[in-house]
Amino acid sequence: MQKTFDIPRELMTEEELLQPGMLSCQGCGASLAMKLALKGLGKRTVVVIPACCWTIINGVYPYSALQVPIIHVPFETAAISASGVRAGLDARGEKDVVVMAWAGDGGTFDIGIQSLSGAAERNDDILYVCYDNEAYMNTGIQRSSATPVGAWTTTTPAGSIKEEPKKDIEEIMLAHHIPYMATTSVAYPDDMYMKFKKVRHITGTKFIHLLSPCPPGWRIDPSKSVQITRMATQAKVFPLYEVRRWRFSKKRGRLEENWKYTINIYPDRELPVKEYMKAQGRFQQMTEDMVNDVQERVDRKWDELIRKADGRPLTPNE
Amino acid sequence: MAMKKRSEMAKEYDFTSWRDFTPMNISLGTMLHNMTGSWRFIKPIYEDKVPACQNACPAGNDIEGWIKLVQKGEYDKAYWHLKQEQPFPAILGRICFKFCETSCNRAVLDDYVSINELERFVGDQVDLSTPHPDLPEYNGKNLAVVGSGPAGMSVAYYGRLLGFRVTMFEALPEMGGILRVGIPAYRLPREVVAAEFAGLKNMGIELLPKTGVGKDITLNELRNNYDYMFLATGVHASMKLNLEGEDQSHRIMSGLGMLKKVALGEEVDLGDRVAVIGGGNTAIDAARTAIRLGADATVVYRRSETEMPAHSEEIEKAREEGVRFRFLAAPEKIELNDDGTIRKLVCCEMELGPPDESGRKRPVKKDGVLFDIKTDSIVTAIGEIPLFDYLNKIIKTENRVIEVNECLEVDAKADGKAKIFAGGDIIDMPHTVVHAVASGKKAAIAMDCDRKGVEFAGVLKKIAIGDGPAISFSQYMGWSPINPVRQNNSMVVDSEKIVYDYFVKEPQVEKKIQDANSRKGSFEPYSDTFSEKDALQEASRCMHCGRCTECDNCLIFCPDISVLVKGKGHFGYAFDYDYCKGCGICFTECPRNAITMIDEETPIEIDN
Ligand SMILES: Cc1cc2nc3c(=O)[nH]c(=O)nc-3n(C[C@H](O)[C@H](O)[C@H](O)COP(=O)(O)OP(=O)(O)OC[C@H]3O[C@@H](n4cnc5c(N)ncnc54)[C@H](O)[C@@H]3O)c2cc1C
Ligand SMILES: Cc1ncc(C[n+]2csc(CCOP(=O)(O)OP(=O)(O)O)c2C)c(N)n1
Ligand code: SF4
Ligand SMILES: [Mg+2]
Repeated sequence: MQKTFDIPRELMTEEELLQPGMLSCQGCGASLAMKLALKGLGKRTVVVIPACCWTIINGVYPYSALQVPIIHVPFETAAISASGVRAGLDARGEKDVVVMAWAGDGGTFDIGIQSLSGAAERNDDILYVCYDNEAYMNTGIQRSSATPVGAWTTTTPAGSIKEEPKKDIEEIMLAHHIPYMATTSVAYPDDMYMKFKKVRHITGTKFIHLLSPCPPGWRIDPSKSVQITRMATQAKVFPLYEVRRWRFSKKRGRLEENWKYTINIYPDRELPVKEYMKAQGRFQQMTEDMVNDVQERVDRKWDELIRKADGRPLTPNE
Repeated sequence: MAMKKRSEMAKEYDFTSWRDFTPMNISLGTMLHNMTGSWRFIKPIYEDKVPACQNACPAGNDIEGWIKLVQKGEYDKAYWHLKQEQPFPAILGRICFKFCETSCNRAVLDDYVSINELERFVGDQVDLSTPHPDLPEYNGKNLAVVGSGPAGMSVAYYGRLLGFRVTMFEALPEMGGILRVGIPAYRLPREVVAAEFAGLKNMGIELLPKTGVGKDITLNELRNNYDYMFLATGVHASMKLNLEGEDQSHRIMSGLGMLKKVALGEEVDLGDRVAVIGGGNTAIDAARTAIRLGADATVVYRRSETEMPAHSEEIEKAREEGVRFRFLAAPEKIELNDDGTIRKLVCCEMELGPPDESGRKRPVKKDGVLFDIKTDSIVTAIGEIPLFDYLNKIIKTENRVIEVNECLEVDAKADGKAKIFAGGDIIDMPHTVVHAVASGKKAAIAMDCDRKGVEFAGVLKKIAIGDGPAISFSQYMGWSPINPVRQNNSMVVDSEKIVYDYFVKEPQVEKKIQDANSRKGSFEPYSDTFSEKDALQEASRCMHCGRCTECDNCLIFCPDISVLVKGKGHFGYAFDYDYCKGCGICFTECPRNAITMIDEETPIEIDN
């Protein structure tokens, strides 16, 4: 029997909230990601997009590929703009509408982090999605703090290799005590669907970190973009998990704090990081030592994750 | 199927100044006017291909097709579908050497699918004597089949489906060739063979046992009375050891001769101990038969086990049943008692030298090291050869085979009426039942082409399956495949084209075989056909290589929303080439390679 994706068939065949004609490159993970995200969120969604590839993908005024309202906002303002839309909708009583900030890794890890931190600390009722293609792709592949060690970009070319590990955005966000944080990826459509459906019912700041392949930026064949993204999870470079802060206590009759990590996808097979890197043009300049270091870090982080996910109540600082 | 094109809904706006802008700059329309299909230089098409198993089957059995029907519980349909390419599932489901299983792509993941057991299950679902439900009118030509083994059975079956009036001539009192008189009943029950013949008879095929050609009727008579002839007389004489005394004892016999006697209910006198000389299937069957007749059996083979031509599974079963093996030994001398019984068999120790033409290591005598084997009888099974006397030198033979051309037509002097074809063990081909069946199918099609005056070589190209020699009867007949999608019959889907990420490990269903002790006392079959539950479980392991299962992966993964579901009552999907950018994700993520990427310029008619 084949592993099939657990997404209701009606959803895949009904009228799309995203229409083709998009300006994304061939094999772009970002357009696929939006399509799948909207399967979970549904029509009652407002999308807030700062400067990033998605600004372009959606099309130029007066056209929009997205069939839900979308607001283009300045690069560093995704979260705060979403908070503003939220406030407006609340004032109109449209509580059921989800406001989704949809930003790139540059817009999230770097320039937008202060406004994101503010919104998260206030626990504004927004969904913040970082579709992470691991560099500033729209402006032609510059390094961001989400770019992995060793990846080629135009600002980390051969000879000045990136040595700094990718920023740990998950733990940063969890340090804001938000109610929900998850990682997901376009290679696992039903994982995405499940998480985007779930966040509709959680109040407060929800953060989803989504791995989104970029064929030109990753130096890969467009046809392989999903396959290689799947390898990221299989090689534990990008584990798929979710963290919830609250649990309903029957005894107390109210929510109680209970940090729960759940790993959603366990690798089916042993896949060395090396294989994942070998598959991509952007990692070709890495030395064997560097790859080994990455493997060690990946293993350590996976062990930590397993430990956190074993059911013990944890605080994010542990 | 005509679908409303999305591009027809596209609207464009021609703004000439900022005054045309909407208040608050609200967008007005979709991006549908931007036909991104123009970016494409390669494009995906839906195209079913040839699974590795089907490619490996000499008969081109459409395994994936009938397994799909089994999964749906449509056993009747599965039976008739299977018979399109391989007419005798109940027989081959029991005794085939399973070329398919050896190339099953599933083996890379866990273990091959037990195709042969499933074939047997399907074969046992329908009364074998049921004639084909869709028999055509006779086409006015008659066909004489000489020999009732699997090659003859196959040509008769397909010949009748093509409208030939078929008569089958068999020298022996029983029909079935080796199936009836060679392969022992514990592997292939007599009733199964008999029921298949009942089926052939019910299709209007005339069966004439006890009618030896060259004995009861001459080849020339047949040549003058029939439009077509098919020779499939098999290899029924045994090679000699060429030792003194070989012909002077009733306790020395050929393996096939002994099996034949047992099969026809005649007495055989083996004594208590039997030495079987040889390493092929005949040797193993003879030894296992001897065990069932209460004797001790030792197989004496001049090479080692790895070189044995017998099927390894059969060797294993023989060993379990108590057959002993003496490898690297060759008979040197037979010493007889005065009453014709055997005093001893003197053998020579052998060792393996460099490989011979067959690629196996050549056995060479270890200088003068002799030893005795105490035995009461000797069964020789060192190879079977054909008896070509009945051909009366009308037909050319060379190196114990009849020479045939691409159509399996024999080069006969053109002084008779019939066109003569040959197949099975008497032509240069591996000696297996499925190869024999394949030759019968091919000859039937060749005869039909000849009847219609169509060039066979051209047809052959069109109906070839994958890269193997197998050809498709169903394609010759123009029958529709199970999936109503474009078919690519030359591209084979091997394991490299399978996306194993999408398959979960699932152990093979265990085959229930009686233990050696209970099976060695009986000629009854020692294994049962799969139960329905087992069959469904095993069938569910099929990965449907190369054939769309409507799993939705392409639909889910298309980043450009360019895969459309054809809708109720229609199979599969259609690409929206107005927008498909040709990224190829659908192609890479299709678990089973049912999508092909082709050059944008390739002229191909796609029925969307
Ligand atoms: C002991 C044994 C076990 C085997 N086991 C297997 C197995 O498990 N699986 C497998 O795939 N293959 C097996 N084989 C090989 C397989 O049986 C043969 O390759 C196959 O039967 C060949 O089919 P055929 O139609 O060419 O000839 P046969 O099956 O040999 O049939 C030929 C028929 O023609 C008849 N005939 C001969 N001369 C005349 C004549 N002049 N007039 C009329 N009739 C005539 C013969 O009596 C015979 O019935 C086995 C072979 C042997 C000997
Ligand atoms: C304040 C500001 N600085 C710079 C830019 C130029 N700019 C537009 S998109 C972009 C890169 C965005 O990168 P990321 O957020 O990772 O999204 P991606 O394009 O990779 O999807 C940059 C630098 C801008 N629009 N605004
Ligand atoms: S540059 Fe990368 S992220 Fe941007 S549209 Fe192209 S593929 Fe998508
Ligand atoms: Mg980016």
